[in-house]
Amino acid sequence: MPYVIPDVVDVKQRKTDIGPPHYKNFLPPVIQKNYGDWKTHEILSPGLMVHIANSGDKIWTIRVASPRLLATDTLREIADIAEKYCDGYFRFTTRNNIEFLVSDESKVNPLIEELKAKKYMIGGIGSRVSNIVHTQGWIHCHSAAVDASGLVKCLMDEFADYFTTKETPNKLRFAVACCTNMCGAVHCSDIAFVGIHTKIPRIDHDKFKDLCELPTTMAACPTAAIIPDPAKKSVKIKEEKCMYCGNCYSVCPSLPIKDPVNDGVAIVVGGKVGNLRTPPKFSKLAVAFLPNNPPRWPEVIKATKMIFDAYVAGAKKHERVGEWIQRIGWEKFFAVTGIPFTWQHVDDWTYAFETFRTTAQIKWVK
Amino acid sequence: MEKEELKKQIYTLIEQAQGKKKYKQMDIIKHFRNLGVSDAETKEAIRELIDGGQLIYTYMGGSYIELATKLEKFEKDIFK
Amino acid sequence: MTKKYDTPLLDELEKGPFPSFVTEIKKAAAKNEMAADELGLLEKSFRDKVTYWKHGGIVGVRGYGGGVIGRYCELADQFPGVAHFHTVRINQPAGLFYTSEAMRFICDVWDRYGSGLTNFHGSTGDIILLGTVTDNLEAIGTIFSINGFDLGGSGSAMRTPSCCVGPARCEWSMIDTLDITYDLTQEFQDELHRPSFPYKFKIKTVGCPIDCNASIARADCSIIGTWKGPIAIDQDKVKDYVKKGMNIQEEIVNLCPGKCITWDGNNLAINDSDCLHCMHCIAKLAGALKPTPPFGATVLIGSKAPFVVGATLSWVIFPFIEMKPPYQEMKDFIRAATEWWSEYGKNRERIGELILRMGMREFLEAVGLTPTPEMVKEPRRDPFWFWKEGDLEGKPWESWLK
Repeated sequence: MPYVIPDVVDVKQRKTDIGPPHYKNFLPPVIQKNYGDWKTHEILSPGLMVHIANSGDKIWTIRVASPRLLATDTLREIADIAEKYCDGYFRFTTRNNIEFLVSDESKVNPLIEELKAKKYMIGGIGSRVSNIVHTQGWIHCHSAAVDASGLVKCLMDEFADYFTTKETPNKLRFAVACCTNMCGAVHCSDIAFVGIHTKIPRIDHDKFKDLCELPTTMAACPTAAIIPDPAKKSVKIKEEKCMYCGNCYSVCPSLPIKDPVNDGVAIVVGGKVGNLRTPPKFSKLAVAFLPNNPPRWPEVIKATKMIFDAYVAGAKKHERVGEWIQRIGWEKFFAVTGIPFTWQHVDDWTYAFETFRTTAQIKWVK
Repeated sequence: MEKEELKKQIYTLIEQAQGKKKYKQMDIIKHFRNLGVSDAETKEAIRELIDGGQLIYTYMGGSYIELATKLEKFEKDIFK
Repeated sequence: MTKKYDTPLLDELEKGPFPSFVTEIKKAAAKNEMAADELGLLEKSFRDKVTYWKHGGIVGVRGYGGGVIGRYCELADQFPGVAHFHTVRINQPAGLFYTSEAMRFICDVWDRYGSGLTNFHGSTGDIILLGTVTDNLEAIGTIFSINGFDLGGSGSAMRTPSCCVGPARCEWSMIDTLDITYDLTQEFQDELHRPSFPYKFKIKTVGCPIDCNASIARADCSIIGTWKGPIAIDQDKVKDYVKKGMNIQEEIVNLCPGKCITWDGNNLAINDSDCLHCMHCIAKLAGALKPTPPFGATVLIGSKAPFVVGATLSWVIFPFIEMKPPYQEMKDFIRAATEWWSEYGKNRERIGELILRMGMREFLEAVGLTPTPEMVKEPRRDPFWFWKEGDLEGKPWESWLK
């Protein structure tokens, strides 16, 4: 289908409620032919797999990493490569990787060679680190406590070998959220990072009445820490109740909470979304605060490596991080990773009582 | 209620609430439900006001319906 | 020539093996003023350790309440190119498949009307086009629409549904995730473009319990393909895995949550009535084991990130539902559920939070369902429950005590 961009745009031509184009327009012929009729697949190397249909047809997939933030120049290059080797067909994964879909086996190796020559990072398939689901960060978000793309880049640089070659006991899914709003599956990832605040919001009393609605602002607070300040036609914040979530700022711009000194990064671990073996799990707190230290966040990377290395050393085959921790116990997790257990690790929020230990079953780790 | 009259009343409701209360679509529907207007009629009237450019959807931690004139004011104010 | 900034901190992030987002911004910045100022602004954020973006949610295209995220810069004087830097969400093709031709079209539009920067894709699944100005929005909406693309969702609305790769390229997909996603997206166009809900409502569809789209963690409505038939076993292929070094006892039998697999060194047997349908054995023995019909979906409601009372995973509402076109039962359910939520939900209250506030019974009755053990992990442990008029009418115990 030819695409048209008129020189002069007549906005009256706009059609509404048409929805997305039909996906069949973008499926390679071999997929159209074998749609829903695949028999099996094989992972041939960390970035290459082949799917085999009941008809005997095959399609090869070559996966490369992407930073998710892509310039049109790069997208055009990807389109050109796909045209050269894949009849123009490619896709993205839900974790922002690019997948080239090759129907002709003889084009697989030349494609890999060209991708290598152009410095694409090939891998991410199977029991290893895949790309990182993340949020906008300082690139585009008003509520970001930390950057997201920068942290992702540092993490993926550090663990690059586990994307391209090395294996982990099972898939390892990182995620980065730049604030506790968590636009991404941070709350259910193996090792995840979330930007946090540690001080209460400031109140711009003069602007409050123009920019904010009192009931909405009060309702946004999970702990009812926001109360009216009728004299100022604004609000007050009960400092002892505020847990710095920043939800009030989302509905009221006169409650800024960003703080260059006191914002930081927390690490949560052990979440998963798949149902394999054990039910889906939430991530739990491992490190409550690390400094927000761009451009390389050395403290975050070092702490992550401590968790990552302990997992790779201690987990049995097929165990995800959460399953490994479940087997060894949290007391052992803190012992083997060397991460200190602090006040912040003891829950005092909605589901706190479900997290207190109610058994004499305890492992002595020291 | 006649549609043009309903549209006028919806517009007035939002105009008079400016700076005091922000209406979501369902708030408007419920307001007119209490006056005996069916949900479908109110919804259609809102749609015509929005398609006609008199009202717009706005977002501040939740979606609301406000006067279209709000946009220009907002863009002027935001750079102050 | 576009404006040049010194970016020593960001330059640091052009080193290392992983593809660099900084390089991407620089590519766009070389020919686009908006991207050039985005680079300068980002360097300033890296130096000052804060974001410089403002709230701003008023802009959009005529008639729609979603699809455009208004964004303005706090430092418009210093970085005029990003004074306005709105995001446009374009509804992605289901399964995230593209052709080179379609991709070049998207790039052409964005080089002409935007910053040249994109995300493939946003967390919800949309194509994200980063950075344009208010005056360009109507033209962007028009050009995409005359070429068959529409805006995605934002605000208190149905959000753009998304799915895993599904039957397009996966042998385990037990439902047609792409077709379901396309069909539901078309069905709920009005709800997607015209925010009428208390808050956002996300639908994610995956073909099997492996859940490659995190539907159980980040969709208000999670549709997860599953099966009811036995697991078919190809014993020869199982033995091939043994030959390749797999320890069936340790890697398959011992890890089965239903404890329903046995292996005598020669023959793999599965007691299907105890199978929990977790997918572990099928995924690890690809090609040797496969699920058999009836195929359908488990439908769950309510997952979301932590705001306000804490993160939730979705809760089982339909343990099993057939998913055949035109998916009428699913559509009726989504309508009934969102109507109930629109009626009673408060601003910014997700459907899961409303269920917690009003009680699961209220929700189930509103959508016309009765409870079954598959919906819960365990029955309640407290002695405090409600009775409704009629619950004890007709002495219900008599029928089952017979």
